[in-house]
Amino acid sequence: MKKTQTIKLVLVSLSVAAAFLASSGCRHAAKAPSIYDESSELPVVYPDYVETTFPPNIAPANFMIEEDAQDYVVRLTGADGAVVCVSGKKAIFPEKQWRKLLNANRGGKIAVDVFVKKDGKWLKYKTFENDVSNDPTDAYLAYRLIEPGYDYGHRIALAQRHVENFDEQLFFDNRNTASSPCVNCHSFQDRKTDRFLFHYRRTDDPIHGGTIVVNGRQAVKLSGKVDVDGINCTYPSWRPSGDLVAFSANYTRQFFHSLSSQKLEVFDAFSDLVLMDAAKNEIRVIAKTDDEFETFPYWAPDGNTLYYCSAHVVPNTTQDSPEVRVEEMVKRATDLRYNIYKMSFDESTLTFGTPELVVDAASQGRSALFPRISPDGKWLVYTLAESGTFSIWRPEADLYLLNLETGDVRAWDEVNGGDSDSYHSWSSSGRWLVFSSRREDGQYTRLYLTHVDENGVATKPFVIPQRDPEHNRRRYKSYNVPEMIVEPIKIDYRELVKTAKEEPLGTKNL
Amino acid sequence: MQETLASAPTMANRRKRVFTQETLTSLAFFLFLWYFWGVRYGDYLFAAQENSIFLYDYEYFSRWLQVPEGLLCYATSFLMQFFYFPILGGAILAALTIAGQILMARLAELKGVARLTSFLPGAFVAVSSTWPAYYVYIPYEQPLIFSESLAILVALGGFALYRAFENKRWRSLLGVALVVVLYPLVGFWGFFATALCCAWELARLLSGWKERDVRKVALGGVVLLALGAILAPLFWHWESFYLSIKSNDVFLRGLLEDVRYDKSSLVARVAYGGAALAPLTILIVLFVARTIACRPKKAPSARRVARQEERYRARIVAKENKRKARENDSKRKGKSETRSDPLAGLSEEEKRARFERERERARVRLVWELLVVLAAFVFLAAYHTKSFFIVLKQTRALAVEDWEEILRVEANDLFPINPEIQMRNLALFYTGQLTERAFERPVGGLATLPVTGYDYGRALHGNLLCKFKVKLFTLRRDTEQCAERVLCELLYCYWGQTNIAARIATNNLIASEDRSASFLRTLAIAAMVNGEDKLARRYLRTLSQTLFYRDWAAVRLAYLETPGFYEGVRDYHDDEAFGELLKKRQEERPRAASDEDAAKRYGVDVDEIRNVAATVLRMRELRPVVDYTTTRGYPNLVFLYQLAKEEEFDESPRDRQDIILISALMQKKKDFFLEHIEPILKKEYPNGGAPKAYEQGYATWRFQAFGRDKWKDCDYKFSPETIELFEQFADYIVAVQGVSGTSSDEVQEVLRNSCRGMYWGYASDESVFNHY
Repeated sequence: MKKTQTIKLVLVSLSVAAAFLASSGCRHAAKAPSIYDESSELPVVYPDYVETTFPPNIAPANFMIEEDAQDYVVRLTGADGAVVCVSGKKAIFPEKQWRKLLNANRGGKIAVDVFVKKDGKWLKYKTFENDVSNDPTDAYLAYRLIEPGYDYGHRIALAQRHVENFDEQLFFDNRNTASSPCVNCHSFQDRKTDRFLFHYRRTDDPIHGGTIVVNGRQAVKLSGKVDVDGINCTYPSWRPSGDLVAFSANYTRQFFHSLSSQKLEVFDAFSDLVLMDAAKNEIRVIAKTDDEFETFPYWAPDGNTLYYCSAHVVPNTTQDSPEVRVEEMVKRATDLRYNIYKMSFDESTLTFGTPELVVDAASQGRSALFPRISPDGKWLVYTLAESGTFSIWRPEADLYLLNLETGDVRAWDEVNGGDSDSYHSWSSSGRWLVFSSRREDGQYTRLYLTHVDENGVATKPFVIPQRDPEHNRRRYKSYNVPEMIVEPIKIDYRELVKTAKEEPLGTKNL
Repeated sequence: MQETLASAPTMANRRKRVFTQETLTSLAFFLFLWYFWGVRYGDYLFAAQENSIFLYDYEYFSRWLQVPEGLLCYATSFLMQFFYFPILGGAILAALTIAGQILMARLAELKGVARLTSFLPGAFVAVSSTWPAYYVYIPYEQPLIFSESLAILVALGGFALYRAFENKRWRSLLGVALVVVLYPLVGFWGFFATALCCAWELARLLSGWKERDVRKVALGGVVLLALGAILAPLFWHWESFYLSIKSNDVFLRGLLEDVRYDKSSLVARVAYGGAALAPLTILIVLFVARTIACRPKKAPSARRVARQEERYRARIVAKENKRKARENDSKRKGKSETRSDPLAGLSEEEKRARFERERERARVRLVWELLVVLAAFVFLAAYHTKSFFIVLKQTRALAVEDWEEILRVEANDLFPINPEIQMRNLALFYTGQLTERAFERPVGGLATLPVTGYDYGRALHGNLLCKFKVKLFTLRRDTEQCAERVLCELLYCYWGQTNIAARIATNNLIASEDRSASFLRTLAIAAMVNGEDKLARRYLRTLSQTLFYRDWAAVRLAYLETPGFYEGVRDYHDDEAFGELLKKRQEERPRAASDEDAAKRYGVDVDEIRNVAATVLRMRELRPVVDYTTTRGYPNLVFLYQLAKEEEFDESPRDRQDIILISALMQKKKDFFLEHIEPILKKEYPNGGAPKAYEQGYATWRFQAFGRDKWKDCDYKFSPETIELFEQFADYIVAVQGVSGTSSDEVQEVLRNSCRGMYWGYASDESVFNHY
């Protein structure tokens, strides 16, 4: 063979290999078998997209059939008779056809037939139906990607996901800075991306630590230091309008259990509430008490009430020696039980009213956390755990629903799973709620979406779809602090990186 | 005369002989490398593949592509999975190296002695790939350690392809394509390939082989390639480097991307930074060698020729005389023979032919000698202590739970270091010998001295080579410190400390970018022991997609389905809610009807499932009885210390009580030991015959408390052996009294050699433990 022929052969082979690789993800439409046996059982599919409700604008709910067989066919049928049919163990639906099917069946149902071929014969499982809601969900989700780890924060990224397709973009990655700091607690103003903030800190680099506040396409880093406690602003909540952000300032530590499915305990040695004017870079103390550990502030939709959690503790040590306090709180961490309170707010004087008890969990020996009010102000969803402040590590943590108009409260059983159900966020319409849950394996949080009707009844939650249904099994990262947003992040990612590398502006304490 | 002429070197048979020599040297070096990698560093390869993973799915592939050199690491990971069988792994690495060597020799047209330079990259790669030493256990992107072997081949292949194109336009296009494609795929090595192309074009240009217009095109091509080589990485890293472009980063980042956490460390700088600079070295070597090889040969001076001829004449004469002497010996033993000049009577032409043949032989001999020197260099430059290789062997045995092998290997080391003893203690426990043999070795458990204070010192004072290496690089000290972390998560796991194990393994998994079979395996075991079947299934599913861990995973997946899976799962300390939750989970989970049923579902042997179940049950028994808190960070590897929670002694199963007692001995917790050992001796060994560690530990405390005369006055009947040993020891103490203290090294040595359990029990000086 001549040299040129050899070269051509190599090039052709490479092209074929490239074409094969490029086409490996493609699926072709399939045809459902006409002759088959029928089973009365529902198929076992992963993720569990059986008899749930989808928003009309959700990405294709691809799933895999958890069974070994010779061949597989999945058929989706709309009320109008429209059919989408795919083959393979992984049912991956073409995006265009999926969208068309959902739009055509808004307010209706989609029937799902699963066929498997075993020993040369087709078997059809019991048909199940998924509802398509009339209410679209917010198009974007912002969350933190973090290993459910322990004491390393090697790679932490803030990401946004377009839920109408599978696009996931990192809008901040701690790898792009020198010291891989912790990046946490992102908070958006009224679910829009013009104004948001997140923390950027590392214990061994106090110089560059701070809170990055985004305003339009500009960002600035503020120290966010609370002089009175000597600690930083921690859990934030933007007031729906204006420049004010309520923070809790927490002295947070963690320790590890030697025997428990809850391997990690995060606790506060002390915490207080502060109010920051993000434009003026000023902080004023809202609540500074030694025997109340206030945390997790959250503004009501009208911006005139601040909800927050607080645990009543009478410490034997003072805040002046934080590490001594930590030692005490390590022993008392599981005794910390939080209630939910609210305070009225006067914007003109920047003053808060007297705290009012909203959820009394401590008296029942439990801990109520993460109050989130629906946009219509009717519902308050919170997490209830046995104790402590970090419910994500508490397997028994469940979501509870409080009707703020009637005061009725109930465990949200239709939503709760077998493991920690924790951080949650309402959509702008108040019809969808995203929350993180460890129900899949007790370790890695995944994001679930549920539809909530006007009576507070939720549908069976479903995990946010991925292009490859196995993606969530492969990804050894947790989806943390999900927040629904109505638009994509606008600020240039490089602007954020640049800001992160700057020294923070000292925050003025009033 | 006819015969002599026929044997004279013609062009044809010379080419044939050179070809044979070239093949032989390559083959010899291949065999050497095969031995080096497959046998000498076989366990090293195994450890490296344990800390990497290769999955047969698109997502795994696409994740690699997200980083520079991703494809290279992907391909290397694919090859690394075969390191599971080190002989095969060694063959792969040797084959890659030799392929690169042959390609390099051909491209640079290296002949004769100059051809030896083509062996250098392989030699340097072998040395640099083994220098990370214990870091092979530390979460890095392991493929990076071995990727150079493949990368050299890829880069030279790209260059060979480029050279094969005669058409200048096609060649220019291919050059640009090489820049654009190779950099994202193989990172820095893409730049290296294009640099080769540039240099080749320049060489052609300068030698004036082509016409003027061709020169222009070639010059343009060079400029284009050079620009491309700079712009492609910039383009690729635009997002990352937009804000802080550093020229060195642009090219080094590819290689260092995934070891960035430690890139400022000495190891990273030496092992990875050095590797990154290796292409430049190779480039220089390649072209210097080529220049030498292609340099027109000057006619040697008459004086030199005469000297050479004199030398060859002497050799020929000596050889001829030797041959004749042999013949004479066989024919007429003892009779002397007149030595004659074998060249006498030959024509000038025939003499020249003989001289030529002798020159060829000398050259070949030089090649082989240099090759041996090179092999020796590789061997010595990659020097590691004996302990290092023993730890490698032990960890390999631990991976397959071969406890006997761990003990056997460790027994060969007179100076075991900390990890060796840790693994030995574990093996002793799992073979039921801990209480009998816990103190046979000089160090162990809590009192294990750090390797850097023991082995390092020994290296400095005892071994010149090691001393040289330490002094030069201080690399060993850094890496030896890592010995403390070798498989510590797995060891914790086997001691029942599953939460600590999971914490460390999770940290390591994070650092290894989720690409480690070893950490996934530990996490799976920890989850199984904890009764977290869903979590265990997640890790096992990943492992079941690998080529060589799928059987291991299949057995465990089947075990998760067995009816007895939840047997012995320790309840969740005092939290009722957790307990209820666990019960609920257990009830909800559908199980196989029997072990056989589970085995059938997964196509595995039921006995294997039962073996797994037995080990898991044992580990569950070792789990802490009460919950206690630990702080963050890496605990040191004092497993037994961690287990010695005195308050839970009474509630613990007997196995665990043994561990706590041994731990108490090691920690010199005299009161605790005495309090618990006396009832045990009384109840279980009323007539004596307790395990040596117990008996002699007890004897030691009594000896110390009551002195030589009264130490035996108790209910327990000490064995004659123990009594004799203590008498001897008492004599010894009397003899050395006033010379050295009882806690001196010498006394400790005597104790260690004579009495099991006494060694740690006797000394009252706690200072040795202070650093813990």
